[in-house]
Amino acid sequence: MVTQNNLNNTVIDNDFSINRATASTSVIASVAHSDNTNTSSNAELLAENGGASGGDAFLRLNIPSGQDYCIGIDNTSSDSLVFGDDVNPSTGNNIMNITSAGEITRPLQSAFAAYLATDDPNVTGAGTTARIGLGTALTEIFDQNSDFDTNGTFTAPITGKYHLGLILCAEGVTSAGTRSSVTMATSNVNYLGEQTDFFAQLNSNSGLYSTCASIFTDMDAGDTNTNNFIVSIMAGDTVDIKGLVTGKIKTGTWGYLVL
Amino acid sequence: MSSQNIINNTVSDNDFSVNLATAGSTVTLSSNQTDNSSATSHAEIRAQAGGTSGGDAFLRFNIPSGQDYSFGIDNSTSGDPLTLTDDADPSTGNILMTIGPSYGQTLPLQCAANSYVEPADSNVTGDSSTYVWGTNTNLSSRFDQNSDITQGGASGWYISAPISGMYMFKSMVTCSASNNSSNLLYDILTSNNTFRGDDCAPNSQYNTSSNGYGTTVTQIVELDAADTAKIQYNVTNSGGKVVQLGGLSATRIRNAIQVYLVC
Repeated sequence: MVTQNNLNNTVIDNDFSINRATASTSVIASVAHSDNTNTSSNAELLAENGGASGGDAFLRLNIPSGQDYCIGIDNTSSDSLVFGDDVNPSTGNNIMNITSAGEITRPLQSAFAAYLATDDPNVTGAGTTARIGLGTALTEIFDQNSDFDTNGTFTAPITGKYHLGLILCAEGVTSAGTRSSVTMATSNVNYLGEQTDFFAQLNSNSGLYSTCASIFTDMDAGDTNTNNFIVSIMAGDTVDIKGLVTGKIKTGTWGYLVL
Repeated sequence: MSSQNIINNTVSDNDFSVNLATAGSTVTLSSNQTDNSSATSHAEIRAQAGGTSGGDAFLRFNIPSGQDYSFGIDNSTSGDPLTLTDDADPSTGNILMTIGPSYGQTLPLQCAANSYVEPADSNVTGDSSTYVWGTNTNLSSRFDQNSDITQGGASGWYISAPISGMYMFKSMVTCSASNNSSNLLYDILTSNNTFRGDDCAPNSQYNTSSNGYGTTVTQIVELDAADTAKIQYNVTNSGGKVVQLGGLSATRIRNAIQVYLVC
């Protein structure tokens, strides 16, 4: 047996590795405390760097020729606890970030918000289904993970539960326009977000009608969501979906993967 | 250091363990880098499998005769997700959190539910009586992750919070016979608070095709463990107890309650 740099159970100025090649077995580096009488008898796995000017302290999980993940302190970024997809917390994509104050962000989690910048004119009124974003493209505010297209379709990147919503503003209704509805359509199920008497709900000053709706729903990977607005009974499709009004967003959609 | 099979700081084809029995002390396996001058002087602990056809690479936390948690790469699942489970490795047990593929993060056991009115729940209000959803007719479940929902019965539909936390609570309601209904009150009732989601006059804004008025309410609520939350509504002057909670209409869900644990 040859030991190099091992002194009092400490390997000084060197690495230490445990390797195995036998199929169907695990290779284990374990830290175990057999005392079961004292709550301070902890079992600890510690990664400790040299200090604030040193490198990172982290755990790395690796499949050779496959995936890398690391979980640890990014010493170059305010000491956040980082879940990354590379060989250390300072490189690669930051999947989840927990600041030293406890705030948690997930920079790659699917999330989007978009709005209608200019009017989508004459889209409904006589019963025509108007899909938000189809006639006039939406403008993205953000599209984290790139799952949304500006024609108003959100595509689920992974099977999960999503919170999706919209705000909608319209004008151009006549007194005949007493039937309106908003439907939030998904591949699995459609939701009737609102049904109302459009004309009765007009703001008498602006002549505008506004509503909002949201759903918490299940989506499979590849499933889509679009949002539809219908006004009926009017003589023609003269209802506009409103874009920005004095710089304010009046129509838009949003959503995110919850869990 | 008692060394067996250690050659040049490498243990070949074997395990390695650090053990202690002294009460009140911590047993530590550490990786220390003492240099404090370079940002690339990392301290790394690595678990590496043999390759894409091999096993998992993970960290395991274990209390003998108690809880197990494993956190690592589930090499047997497409996309090599980073997985937290309650068992001895990432491929077994219940998945508590998974990251990937495409870095989407899901929490398969987190409280989350979507219930909806499938067959119509008829004649529940309209005469100023207050109706708790699910009292007469159970709601249907699209999903009830973690099984925290009672879909109906004497106490109506309710969620029993599995843990203290903040819950996103939302619902969609459609009131029938709105052409004659002068007032609608719509409440989210929790063990701690009552939230008035809507207070309106349906007869001034109903859809003339269906005679219905629909709206949605969203509210984040604080629930302690075992606290409950439910929905009630009260409609007035409808010409009697004639207002119903409508069921599916042209395959669209019209009345629903959706909830999830946020944090």
